[in-house]
Amino acid sequence: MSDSHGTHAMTSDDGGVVHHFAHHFATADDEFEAAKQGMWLFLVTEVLMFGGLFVAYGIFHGLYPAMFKECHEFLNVKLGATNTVVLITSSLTMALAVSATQRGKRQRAILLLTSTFMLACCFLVIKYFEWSHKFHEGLLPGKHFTNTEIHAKKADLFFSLYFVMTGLHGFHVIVGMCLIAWLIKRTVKKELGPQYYTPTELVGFYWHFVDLVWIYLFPLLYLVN
Amino acid sequence: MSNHSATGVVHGDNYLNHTPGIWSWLTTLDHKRIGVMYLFTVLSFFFVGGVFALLIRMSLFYSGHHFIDANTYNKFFTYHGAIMVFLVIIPAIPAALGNFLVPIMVGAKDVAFPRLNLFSYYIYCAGAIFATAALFMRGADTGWTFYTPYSIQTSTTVILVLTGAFIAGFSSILTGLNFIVTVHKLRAPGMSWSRLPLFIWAIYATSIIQVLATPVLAITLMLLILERVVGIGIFDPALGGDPILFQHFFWFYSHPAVYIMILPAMGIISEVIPVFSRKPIFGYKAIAYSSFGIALIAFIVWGHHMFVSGQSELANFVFSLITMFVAIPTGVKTFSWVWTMARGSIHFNAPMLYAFGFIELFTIGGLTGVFLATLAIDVHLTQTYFVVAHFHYVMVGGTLMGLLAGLHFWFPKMWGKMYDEKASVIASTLIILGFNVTFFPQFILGLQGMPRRYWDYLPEFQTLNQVSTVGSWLIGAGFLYTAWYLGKALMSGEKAPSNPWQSTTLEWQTSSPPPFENFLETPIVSHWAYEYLPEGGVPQNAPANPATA
Amino acid sequence: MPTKTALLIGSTLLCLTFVTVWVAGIDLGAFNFIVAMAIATVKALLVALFFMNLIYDRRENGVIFFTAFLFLAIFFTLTATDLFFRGDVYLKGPIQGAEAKSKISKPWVSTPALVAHGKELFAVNCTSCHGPEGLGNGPAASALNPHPRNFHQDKDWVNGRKPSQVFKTLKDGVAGSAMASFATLSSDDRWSLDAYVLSLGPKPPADTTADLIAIGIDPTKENAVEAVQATIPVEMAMRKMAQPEMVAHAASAHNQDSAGAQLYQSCVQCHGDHGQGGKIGALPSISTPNNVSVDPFMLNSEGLSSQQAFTKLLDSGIPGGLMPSYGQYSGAEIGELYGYVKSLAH
Repeated sequence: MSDSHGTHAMTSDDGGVVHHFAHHFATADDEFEAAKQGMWLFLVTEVLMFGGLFVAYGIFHGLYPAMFKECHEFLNVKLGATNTVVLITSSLTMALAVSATQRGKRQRAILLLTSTFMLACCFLVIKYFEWSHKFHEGLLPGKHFTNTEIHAKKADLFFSLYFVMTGLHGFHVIVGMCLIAWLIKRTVKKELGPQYYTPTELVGFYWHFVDLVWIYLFPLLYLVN
Repeated sequence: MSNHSATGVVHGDNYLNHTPGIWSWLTTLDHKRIGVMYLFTVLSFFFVGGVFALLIRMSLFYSGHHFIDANTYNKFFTYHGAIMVFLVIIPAIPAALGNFLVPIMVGAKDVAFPRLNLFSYYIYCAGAIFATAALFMRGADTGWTFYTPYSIQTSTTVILVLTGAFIAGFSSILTGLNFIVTVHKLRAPGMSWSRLPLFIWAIYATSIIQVLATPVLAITLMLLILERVVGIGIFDPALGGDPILFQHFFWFYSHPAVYIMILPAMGIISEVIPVFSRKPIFGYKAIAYSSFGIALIAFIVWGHHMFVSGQSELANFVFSLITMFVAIPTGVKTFSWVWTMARGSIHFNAPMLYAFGFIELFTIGGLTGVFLATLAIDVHLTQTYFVVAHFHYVMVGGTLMGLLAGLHFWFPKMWGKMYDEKASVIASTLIILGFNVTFFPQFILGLQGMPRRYWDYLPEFQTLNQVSTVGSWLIGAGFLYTAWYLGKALMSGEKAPSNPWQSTTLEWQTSSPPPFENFLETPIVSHWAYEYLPEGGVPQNAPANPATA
Repeated sequence: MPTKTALLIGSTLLCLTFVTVWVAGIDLGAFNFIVAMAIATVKALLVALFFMNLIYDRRENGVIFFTAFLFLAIFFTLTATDLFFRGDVYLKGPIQGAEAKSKISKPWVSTPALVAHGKELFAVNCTSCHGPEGLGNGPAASALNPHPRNFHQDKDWVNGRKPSQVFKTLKDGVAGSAMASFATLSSDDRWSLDAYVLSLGPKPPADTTADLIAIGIDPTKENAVEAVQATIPVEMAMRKMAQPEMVAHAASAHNQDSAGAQLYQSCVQCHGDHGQGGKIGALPSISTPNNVSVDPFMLNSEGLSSQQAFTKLLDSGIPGGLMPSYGQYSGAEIGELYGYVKSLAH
């Protein structure tokens, strides 16, 4: 490959993982710390992007509290709570997976990463059922809103916010699943372990952030009172 | 295989000739090459945006006579605005000059994330392609601000431009992210925060704004696209939403964006003035902290774009009041620059001439900003040419002058060639003069009541419009001449020494052009960035003074 | 992070989830929201501090992450200073017919104080057409036909130059001209303007008691309780502009000069200028607890079956609906109003 930077090689004692860190860093630890900070900065941008939707939510909820109250009754709290439990559990398995990778417990790491992946699938399946139920009831965003049971005016706004917020969140779940799958592959191929677990840790942060967003989405959409 | 040995570098080996062939450029991870690629792409779009500007001014030459119809006029000012804002002024200094200089000025070998850097460049190109594609289809006629509800209803290809801006925004975010981590983690030994050059402080503050503000633009554009495609209704009054909410979302990014545009230019001025006054910068800490002051205030004043939108009186009051405060850190900088020049030994090279131009033009632009911040006055001046003149003074008179100062200042460093000094003096005079001729009449036109974004105007405004159009030809000529002599210098300019301006910062302590790894040996920094003594400038990596070691 | 810690945090998060769902089922009024957000924030902090390692990490990263929320709070707060403080652009609650109780005793009698106040109001409201001295030469005058009144002359005043007639002009405007209705000003303000414009010319003829009664003033009372609306909804204004012949028809059919018609003015903004009802313009949802539609009904309800029923209706309004009570009318007034409303209903 032309014009590549030189790298420093680090061989490990566990007979598996070898990591070359980039030449513009003095040590592998510097590279790890830089990567971690880069991920935190990326999460800052995610906070502000999702945050825009939360601002829109806050404004409309503040202006039309009665409408929000009426609309939220058409959301299934049981399914929402289940999804919250699913995501929190997946955060737990993700955190344990990072620990396992750091400690060289490769099989356990693969198991935990796979569990996280499956829980994410579960989340999406439940979401699918929720969404399709809404389509069926005419509880659709904006100009597609056809439901006749709700009396409040501007109810279409609630469902616009619902679909955009849970949709953007769901998109992030899908991206997260792709990243976790990538981690599984790399862990299986012994590219991740105690000498080098940066990708695992960073994807972990991303995944915890996805959980964080849902921790706020759930009460704001499902538990409005 | 190691190719970064501290000794034994091939003589004449620099980043330009380090690896040959266009593919090595397109796949480079070298921040300097990435900066150069950004520079040429940005300048190309500057040319395109400039052509639209000239067409606009041409069509405004006569009252009542037009060579383009009204719809085309609307599209032209939309393209001019969107291209200049999103594809030129925002990325120009950070992505082009910043990418080249930031690692070298902090004493590093590269930015923190080189692959992300290259990826940022390609994201920028992708965004540019989407936006430009719209030009060849039905275009966009909403103005670069895409206000609802018109932007929801218009049948032009708005979504392409929105997508282009959305994608380009990620380039901005990732560039900022890269610089923050670079400044935090990759400073050379001895390069403490208080020894950082002010250009780095400026880029750092700019990067913070980029990371915090641009994501809100992303969600705003996404929501607008969903409005057009799905009809979600959040900004659409017909569906119960609030069109003013769109403006809040849009300006929450777009106001800080103008500080993304100006802070790096101010950073360049802070570098140029001490060098060409042969004096330490006055008020180093004040200038450094004022960059943060500006960055903070940038986020709490956006409503001053919305004084007549129908927002509440409370919001009008709050935003008008807070906007006044942004003049303070700006004034601190301006005062410091002028006081740096006092009792200095002034050299009237092109970078310094552009710095003078910056101070004159940005001061006028900034002060007129205070008029516009005053609610009672803005009610009359908003949506008139007064506003157009104001923002061109700060964006062109500010950012572009800074860019030109920087391009000239660092030209020898980047290319290893010197440009024609006499030509640069003529061109800079032409540009600064032409700029004033173009835009000063627009202040008067605005005060007389000529509205902006109108295809036509009343006959009483014709004379000043014609003066303004002639000015635009002067600027155009100036830029073309600049491109000419700089291009000639690239081809056949005199070879440049490593430190033609006898400057103290780290980039001048390595060869012109710099080697692939920036430095032959990692610099050890013992001096601050502006140690200009009577006997000469002390490089930052000179051995420490025994007394101060 | 030790496994035990991770499991502990995980189970805490699950517990808090159950708590938040449970609390949501209890009615704490406004506190429900605060409690839900507080629990969510505790959960978020647990995730950030432990799962995302901030508690063990360099402080830098925590500061970076926290800054995002700070700026998000700024975004919301400043946007809210607009969206939540639009004031009377969004009407809340039922629309009241403004009971414009006069603050000035017998304002239909000109006094220097009234003239002075009228002069101030004139400068703000009238000079664009009538000119600064009331000569009918304001900036807009050149484009108007008929020409704005020159108050210094006493010829050809459309409604006449008695104070009561000028008052009527101010209240209703002049049909077929650019003279708009200034009923949006309070009646005291209009009397002030009345006094001022009449002071610009020769002494006007005096009002008789009949004149005053014709505009709904009982000269024996100290204050005029004028039944006038504060504003008219935009949609009504548009309707009125679009259908002048309907207004004229309504006027001819329903004796617009009667006392009942004057009293009916406070009903117009909901019930329409001749009782046809209609939407109350572009307002946000004013759904009531019983989910009654905001479309006012046509005047054909049982409230019109007898004057007694009508009296009862006015006294109590319609609970749970948008019809407020109008208990200020005397028996005679209710009679007049009832007669007029019944004439509209047919």
